[in-house]
Amino acid sequence: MNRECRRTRRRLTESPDASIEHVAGCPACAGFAARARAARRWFRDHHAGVEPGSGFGPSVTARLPRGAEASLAWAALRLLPVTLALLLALAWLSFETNGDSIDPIPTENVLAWVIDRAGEGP
Amino acid sequence: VELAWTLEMSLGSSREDAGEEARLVAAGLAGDGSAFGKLVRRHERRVFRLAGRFFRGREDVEDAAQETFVIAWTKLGTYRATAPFEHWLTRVCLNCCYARLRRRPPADLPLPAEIPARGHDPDARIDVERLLHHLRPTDRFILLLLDGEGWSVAEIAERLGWSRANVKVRAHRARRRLRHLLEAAP
Repeated sequence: MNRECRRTRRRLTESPDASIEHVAGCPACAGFAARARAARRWFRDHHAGVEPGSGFGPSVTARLPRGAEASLAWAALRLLPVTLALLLALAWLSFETNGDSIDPIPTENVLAWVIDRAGEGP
Repeated sequence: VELAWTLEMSLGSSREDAGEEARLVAAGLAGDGSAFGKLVRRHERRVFRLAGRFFRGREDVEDAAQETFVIAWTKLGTYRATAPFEHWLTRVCLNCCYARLRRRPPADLPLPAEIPARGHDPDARIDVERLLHHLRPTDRFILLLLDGEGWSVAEIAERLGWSRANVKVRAHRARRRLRHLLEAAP
């Protein structure tokens, strides 16, 4: 197999119906072209030809996890990064602030207090 | 006038259809299993047709279709109504089929002998089906989308949610393996 054969086969793998002069004079590449065409036909025609039966829909609905549970689990999963970020921010704040110099934590308007503390810097 | 009337009628019915589908999706999101069951009935043929591309046996196709709908149900919250529901479901189905194929090892069969193909190119003098079972299932998957469905790299990327570069790399590798296989065949 020479360089021309390799180039021809690369092209034939992409486009099996391509008309390439080299194929006419090279029996090995002609065989390769025939196999490439057959493979392309297989990809085009391959299908199991299976149709859904009448019991398919009910069998799917019977397998569905309960709606509320699924929604709650999904919501919890989606909120996990936010929860982690908040916990980290609070941990950082408590680590950075000196316990003696800070005002007592207010029981009301906690968010304003946190922003205020963050604004003061280390 | 007749054409305009027909067009108006079909547009009206497709709008109605989309409205009904949106209602079913919203009900499904609220946990209504029977509304989701109606969505299953609407789309089951399409999902079977797509899954039938990648699997041979009835059981495999049914399992893939079932898994598609169960995943669709659990991830219904991620569906954005900016695109039709069937596009989103196609993506779920393709990814589900791909994941199932990835779990499968390639067939451990000897290379086929030189025998006439059944219903295929008689010049090839090879059982193509058996030959292609030596490809990795994931390579067959990408080649079935490219050569079987006739989708472009951009279409595959969009429908699977992959990057175009990813599709190109996988397609290139799959074609290279296919070439080696076709060369190795007697």
